[in-house]
Amino acid sequence: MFDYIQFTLSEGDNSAGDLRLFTLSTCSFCAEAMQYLKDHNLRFLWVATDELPLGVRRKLRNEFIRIFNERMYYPTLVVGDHTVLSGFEIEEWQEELELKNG
Amino acid sequence: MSSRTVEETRTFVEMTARHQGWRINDDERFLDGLIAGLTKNFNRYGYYQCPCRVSWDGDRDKDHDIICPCDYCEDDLEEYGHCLCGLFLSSEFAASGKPVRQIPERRDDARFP
Repeated sequence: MFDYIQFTLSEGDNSAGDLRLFTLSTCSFCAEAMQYLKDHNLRFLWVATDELPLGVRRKLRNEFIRIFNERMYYPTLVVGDHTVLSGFEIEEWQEELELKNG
Repeated sequence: MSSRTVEETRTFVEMTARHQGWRINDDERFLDGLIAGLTKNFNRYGYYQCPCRVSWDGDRDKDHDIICPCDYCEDDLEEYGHCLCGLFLSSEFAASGKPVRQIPERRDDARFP
């Protein structure tokens, strides 16, 4: 899944499974989401999709819809292979990632 | 292609808000991020593409409805109190002191690349 995407690893001491964060480099909700994961010292992969070539971005969009049957909003966090968190909602992310403090 | 500085983009945002009777998000860090994002989009696409949506990479015709302020801004301010990005706020929402939150996308998915 998404093996043609070159993600960047953000190191962290904590793990909440395989986390892949899709962001736009220009969006403040995306910046907040990334900071949230860093603040919790989580290890995750991320990519700013606006910096991908248009063709790759379209391929990603189509694959995302095919796999998850929903469109991609920004930011989107994919947890493992099946769970999608669309948009940065702290309460939802806290619960899904089993974090103690928001 | 012309370019914009962050200061020019800030002026654009302030003038747009004043002209429309909207307020601007007063969370400085959040606002700075959006102004930087708008500036980046102007300088790579040639127009103020919405910083919270993916672009057709400079195809102005396909992006025309999501050039800031986007065609969905007014309806979002009416229904949610702020635009998709959390940049522009209604006066009522600004007075409430509530933080902006992510809201549903109005744009048809078929219009995205």
